[in-house]
Amino acid sequence: MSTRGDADTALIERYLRGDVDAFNDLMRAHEDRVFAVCLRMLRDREAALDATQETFVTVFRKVDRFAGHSTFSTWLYRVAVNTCYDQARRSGRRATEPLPEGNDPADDHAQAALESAELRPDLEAALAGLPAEFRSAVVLCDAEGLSLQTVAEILGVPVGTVKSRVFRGRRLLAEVLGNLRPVPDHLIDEHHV
Amino acid sequence: MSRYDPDRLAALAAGSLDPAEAAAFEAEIAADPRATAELSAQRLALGAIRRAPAPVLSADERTELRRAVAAALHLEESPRLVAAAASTRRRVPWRPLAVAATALAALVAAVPLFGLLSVGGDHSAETTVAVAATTTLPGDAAIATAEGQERDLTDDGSSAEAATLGVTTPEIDLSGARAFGAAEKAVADLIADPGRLFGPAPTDLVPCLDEARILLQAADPSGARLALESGELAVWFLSDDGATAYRLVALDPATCEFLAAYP
Repeated sequence: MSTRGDADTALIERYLRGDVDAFNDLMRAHEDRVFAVCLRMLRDREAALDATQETFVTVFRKVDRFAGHSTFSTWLYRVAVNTCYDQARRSGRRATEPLPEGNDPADDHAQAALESAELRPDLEAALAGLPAEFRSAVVLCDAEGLSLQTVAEILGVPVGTVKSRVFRGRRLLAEVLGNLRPVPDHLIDEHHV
Repeated sequence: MSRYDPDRLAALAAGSLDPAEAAAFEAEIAADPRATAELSAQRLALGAIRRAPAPVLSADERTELRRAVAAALHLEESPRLVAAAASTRRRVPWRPLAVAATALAALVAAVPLFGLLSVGGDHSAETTVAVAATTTLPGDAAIATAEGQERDLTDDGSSAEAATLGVTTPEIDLSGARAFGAAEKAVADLIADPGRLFGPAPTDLVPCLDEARILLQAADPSGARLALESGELAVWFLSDDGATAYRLVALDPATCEFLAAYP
């Protein structure tokens, strides 16, 4: 287990013994990253704060049942992502959208489009435009820097599915950011979906 | 029709292939405009995400988040909880303020208990009550009673403290503060003569354990329920030797309101 994981386990034990300082330490260690995930999932700052709060309340209420099969942070992210899904569903905000099925050929001038920064919308807005499953995979893998295996544990899907979602999510993101025309799916191997 | 392995292409974009393999694969797909466009797209997206600063909580959001989570978990009584959340925001004497604010609530709820704790002298009252007075009494006269305490609270800050702690702060006068000082003196007497703390009553019959754990920052304090002339005290304490207490809190056994503490 990682050093962070060891520290979290020790803090949980202290928290369960009534040490409120451990609560503070756990919050301090994870609150920014949980908030970042929630904000990138939900885009709306207030909604992200609500989701962050709900995540921590859920986790601390159930922490006595945390069995340590995964790291605390993996469990925390899983709760955060599910909370964001629930909140988006409740509010009708950014419901899961189908993957666009474009058939246009790839843009051969991608590099030029890449450099046209002034045309790109804000990254957060572009992320928010991704289907929820792709967004969560891209946020966890590329923004948070988690391994594919960890993201697979968080999302409860096979590693191959994470790879596919990250790949396709990046491509959709690039289309929005760089005004690229979409690459047809049939040109991509789907062996890992 | 072009076909290529998206896993390898994604790994190339992410820079996770070893240099030789990366060079070979990039050369392999160089003649394929669709593959190079896809590689550019992957690099564009990944670069944009990696360059973007991570969202962070503002100081106020952080404080409010911890307060809200703690309230939902019923931890909001803890002075250290609030202190830690605010530690990066401003320099404030959180701990005495928190204790004093709790004591203020106790003054309203448990005034009858003070009569039974009437012991002369108030030199051990420390400054907690006086600090509490600064949160509610305007002007320098009230602040002047807070000996040795920091005075960098703004009016807005002091009201925020009370709001953060979920404590309504009624108008008080210093006679209430003196009564509270007497209660603290009574606790000091218990420390000086701790025989009553180590009686035969089982600890698990003493109420307010959860509150005591928070106040004492200890999982397993010892408890004593002391019957006095006109009421009772729930006393929780820490002892190294089974004969003396080095930390102690006294609570109203009916409401678990904080009344006094040692040290």
